[in-house]
Amino acid sequence: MKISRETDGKKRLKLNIYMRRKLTIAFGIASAVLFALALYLVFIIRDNGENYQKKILTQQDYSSTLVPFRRGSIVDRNGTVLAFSEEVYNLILDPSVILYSPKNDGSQPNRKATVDALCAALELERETVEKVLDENPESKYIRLVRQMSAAQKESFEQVQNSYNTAENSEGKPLHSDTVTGVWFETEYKRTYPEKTLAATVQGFSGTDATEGHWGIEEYYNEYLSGIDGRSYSFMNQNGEREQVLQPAENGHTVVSTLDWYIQNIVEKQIKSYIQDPAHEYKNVGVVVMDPANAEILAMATDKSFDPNNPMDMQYTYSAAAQAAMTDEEKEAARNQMWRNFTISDANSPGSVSKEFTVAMGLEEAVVTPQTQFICDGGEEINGVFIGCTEEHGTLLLEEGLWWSCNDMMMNIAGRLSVPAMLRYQRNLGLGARTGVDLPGEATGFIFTEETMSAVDMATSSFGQGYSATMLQMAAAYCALVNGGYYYQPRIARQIVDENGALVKKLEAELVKTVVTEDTSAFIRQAAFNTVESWSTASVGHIDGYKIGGKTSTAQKYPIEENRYFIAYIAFVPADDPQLLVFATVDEPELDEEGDASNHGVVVLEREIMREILPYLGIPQTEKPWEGR
Amino acid sequence: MKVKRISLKEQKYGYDIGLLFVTIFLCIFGLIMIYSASYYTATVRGLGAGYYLNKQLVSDLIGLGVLVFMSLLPYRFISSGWVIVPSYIIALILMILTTVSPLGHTAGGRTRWITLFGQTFQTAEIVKIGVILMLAFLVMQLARQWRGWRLWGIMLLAAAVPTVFIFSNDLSSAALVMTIPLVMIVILNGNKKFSIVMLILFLLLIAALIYIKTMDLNKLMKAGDWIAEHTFVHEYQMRRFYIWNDPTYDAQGDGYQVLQGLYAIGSGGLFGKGLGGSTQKLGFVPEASNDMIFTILCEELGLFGAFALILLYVFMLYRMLRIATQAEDAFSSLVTIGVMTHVAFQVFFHIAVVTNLLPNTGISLPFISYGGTSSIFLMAEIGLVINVGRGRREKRLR
Repeated sequence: MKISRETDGKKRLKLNIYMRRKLTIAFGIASAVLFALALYLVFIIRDNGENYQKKILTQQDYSSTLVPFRRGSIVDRNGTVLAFSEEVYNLILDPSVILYSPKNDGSQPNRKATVDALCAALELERETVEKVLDENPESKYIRLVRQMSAAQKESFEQVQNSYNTAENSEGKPLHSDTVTGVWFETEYKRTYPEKTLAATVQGFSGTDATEGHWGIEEYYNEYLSGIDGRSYSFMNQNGEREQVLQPAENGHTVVSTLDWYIQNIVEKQIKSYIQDPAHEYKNVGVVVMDPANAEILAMATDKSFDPNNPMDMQYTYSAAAQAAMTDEEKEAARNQMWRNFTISDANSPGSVSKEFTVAMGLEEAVVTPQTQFICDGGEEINGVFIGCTEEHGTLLLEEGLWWSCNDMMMNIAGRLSVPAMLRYQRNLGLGARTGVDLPGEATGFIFTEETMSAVDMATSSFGQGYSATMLQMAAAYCALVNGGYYYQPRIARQIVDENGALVKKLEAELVKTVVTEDTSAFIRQAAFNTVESWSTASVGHIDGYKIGGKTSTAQKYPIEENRYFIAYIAFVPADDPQLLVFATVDEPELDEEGDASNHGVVVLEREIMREILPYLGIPQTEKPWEGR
Repeated sequence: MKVKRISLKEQKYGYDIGLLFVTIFLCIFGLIMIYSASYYTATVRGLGAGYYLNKQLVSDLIGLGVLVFMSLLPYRFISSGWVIVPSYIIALILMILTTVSPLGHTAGGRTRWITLFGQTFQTAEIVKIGVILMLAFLVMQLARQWRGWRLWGIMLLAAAVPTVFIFSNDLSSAALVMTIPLVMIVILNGNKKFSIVMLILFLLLIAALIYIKTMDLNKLMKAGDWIAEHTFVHEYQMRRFYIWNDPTYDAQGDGYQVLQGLYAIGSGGLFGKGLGGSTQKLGFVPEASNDMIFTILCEELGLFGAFALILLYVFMLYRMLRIATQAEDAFSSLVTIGVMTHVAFQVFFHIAVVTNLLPNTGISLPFISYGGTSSIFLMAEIGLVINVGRGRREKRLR
């Protein structure tokens, strides 16, 4: 080798020109090689880019799989389960594992055993399985069957286990191949064990557990829904697949105020009412409440569906009716079927609101229980004659309620000012949503200080001209008879977590005091006598119980169409109400003279009460009517 | 003769700012890529998204300090035998301790680390700098007395001794340590025939590799079986070649890493999926922030990013080429050649491995990959090069 020296003879070694050239060439080669590598990248991307992109997409599901949350249950006030989510299993195939050939010779040694096991344990069709495997040989995730039961899962796992661990007489494995590449993914299926019971109150939740439609499912969706977890897998340094689980947060359970037993009775009686060919109806609704705190014990309409299969209309519409519908009509019909008439529709309440008018008169001290009224069959107000049902003659305040006298109510209204009447209506929750914890509530309609004429005031006094939902009326009645305390009606009592620990207590909320205890007592007594006095509501009598009630037959607008809205509201015991039932029939059948009778709805409600009262343990304090 | 004193200004001119900046730039680029490639795994492992980034940032800052320190040391000091020989011996002892003593730390089935003062160091990285300095020192000391094969033999021996201990756990580092003296010998050797023979051998090696790579897998497996039967090579060692030939041979097992890396590169396209956009780092590509970081870079920044990175490396090598050719003594040139070899070799191997042009062997990408020891010692080497580069102007002024 030649290493040049400094010309001055100093002993320093230095690279000579040839070495420097060689070094420069080496640098050139190195740079060229690096750029050649970059060029090779171009080829990889050009030739395989698309293919690799697809591969990435197919394996994506595999690396981080969803761990679904369990949607919370809905239970009644005694813990009877109305809705819950049950664990089901999706069958997942991993063809890349099933078809794996360790020697890359296409032998696929585990294929036959695996397909055999699938067919044997789960009764799958061989062709289906083979086809899926052939079509997706490199996939890692094929969801073959959805929502299998735990029994099916166990059956497969048993077959798999016994095949893979079978040993021959020498204790060596019996089979050289294994059943592999099959696993189960957990999913939840929403189940309503009571089927149609309280369907319009509960609503439903479909395949997507994060969504609730209608009813409690929708209103309390936030609590019922949980947060999905995820399971991540990655390759660790040793080339092993590691899994990290971020567990799902399950949803909370909603404890409803509903009572399974009462709800059952109510629905049974509505069904027998609407199945009676003598009855016509557009809507039938029943609300059962605890007047002490406005908790809803039962709530039902003639419409029904099975939330397990909410698209099925058979519970509301006959096969013939369904067949006659276009798709659009079906959609509209389903919406009718799912909606809750008792909170979503407002009607003129009719005579049941006469109690309100009497209470207003007493509260404003324009009448006393001793005030006498004369009913001469109607009243002319601003040139408009408004009739009563008949000429009742001279009446005490209470008697006006017995006989449901319009003339007396108009008389009381005449003594009230417009603002006073509206103030009481508003206090009673009319014209505004009650705030019940259910979606789709209507506001109803009441006049305002500007719009209310003397005629409107007169008609309002006996429940015509304004409108209210059934729940608004029932809640107002609760206040009227419980001593004057208006509570916001409620369908849920508390939210508990999956272990039953309290998350949120939904306390009865006293909104305001609407009448005094004296007025309340007067109304209770008057309503009791309305049932007892052989007057309008005597059909509602049940031997042994102290029942207060009020019937109603309201005319629907426009009057010429001769459509009615009949109702009966009752509470027991009349001197200390523990139960309040409100039943209505929208557009009932008419008699020969074209008049509606509220007889049917009173009977419907009486039969409901007859079954509920013993269940609630309400004491029989009265002597039976026999012998009277 | 007169020796002129050099002014501070002129001395600064010899300080290769370009090389310093490209190093810092690569390190910052590396930090960004490490964060992008590791945050998912770090989060999943419950370490917090920035865990690996923070650790690397600390290493890089230490490395930068070491770089500046090394670059400012007196030339006399770093070229002194009293410094170089003990350094080499310490590196060798550490390497031996790593392999045979309980101080050795194993991860991923490889004993590449030594635990000292509660920290782990990748010993081969220390050996690399030790060998570079030792080789340059040997040439300076022995070139006058010993010519030709005696000198080459000593050089090869100096590299081979530590290689024996590296070999079993880190094949690529072993290959690198042996390549350094070979490159130096080729440069220094005045015999044209020798250069040509080396070039032919090199081309033959490439041809052999191409032959195996493009061979039919079944034939290769037959040959592999024969080799396993008649030589000391085990069958499992042959598997690496099967997978190299066709990564789908064991797509679920040993071929997994290679395949996933290729998927990442291939799916990146011209401009990539955008920084942070890689899906392959989400648990698919193992060692995404280390041995496979180039694949994530390709997936996120595309061909464009890959070219840009390669250009940066070429620029870095060019700066070092200038220092090596302009240096006033062979020691400076040889140290620089050693460092150039180190960087170029690792860049080449890293990219070639992840593109499956070479059989899979874990090797990091200089300045980019996650790894504390590697960063610190690579920066120390750059510091040395800048240091010897300072001498250029100093001598010219004489």
